[in-house]
Amino acid sequence: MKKSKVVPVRLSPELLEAVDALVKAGFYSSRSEAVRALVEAGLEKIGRARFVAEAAEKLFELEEREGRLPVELRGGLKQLLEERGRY
Amino acid sequence: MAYTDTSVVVAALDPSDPRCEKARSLLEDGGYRVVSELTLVELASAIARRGELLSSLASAIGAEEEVALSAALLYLLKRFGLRYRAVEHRSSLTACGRAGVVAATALSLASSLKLRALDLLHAAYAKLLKEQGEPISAIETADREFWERRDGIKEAIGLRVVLIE
Repeated sequence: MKKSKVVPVRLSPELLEAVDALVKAGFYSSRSEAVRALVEAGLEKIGRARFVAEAAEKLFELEEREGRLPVELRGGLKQLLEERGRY
Repeated sequence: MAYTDTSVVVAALDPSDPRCEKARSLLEDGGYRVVSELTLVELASAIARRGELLSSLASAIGAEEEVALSAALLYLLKRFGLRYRAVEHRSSLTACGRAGVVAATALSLASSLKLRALDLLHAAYAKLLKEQGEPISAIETADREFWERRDGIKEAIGLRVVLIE
């Protein structure tokens, strides 16, 4: 594992308070560990969003290749309106 | 500039429905259109329950079905130029106690609009998004329930109803 580096980060009082609350509640042993874990979680989320965006682009390519919308809901409107009536 | 009900998007994706072409032309006219999280939920449900569609999408883009479903929603938003906007969630007081702002707004509209529950929730989203500053002047729908309540909607929310027929 590569050696971690110290990075100065400015946090608003509200954010710092939230981080401290997590530490106090025992989720993390220190501010440093809490911020590191939250940054990792944020990056994981963004990574997934990028993956989804790339997949959506592939649907545009699919539409261009096949000349029709790749998402077709035959009979979908009747079903949607019937379900709204049942809801 | 409109709040677009899920029924318009589904109509545009349903070639077996006579409203398909009209719905698609409308969505492709470049107008400013807003949808809510309820639209995303209804679309996700409609796509996910067509197992064959979801598995073929996943296979075509080389992704798992969960990713394919999210990608399909993102594709539809971009394809039809729909702007997804979140309502700023907060709780609100109702006669029965605290409730989320969407439910509280729907409750407050129920007696005047007399819509079915999901239609009422769409009306609440449209009202709240308009109040948040979205330039919405109409609700576009393929659902006749909205059309039949158009006068009440105009009075209660200040929005016209545009029916796709």
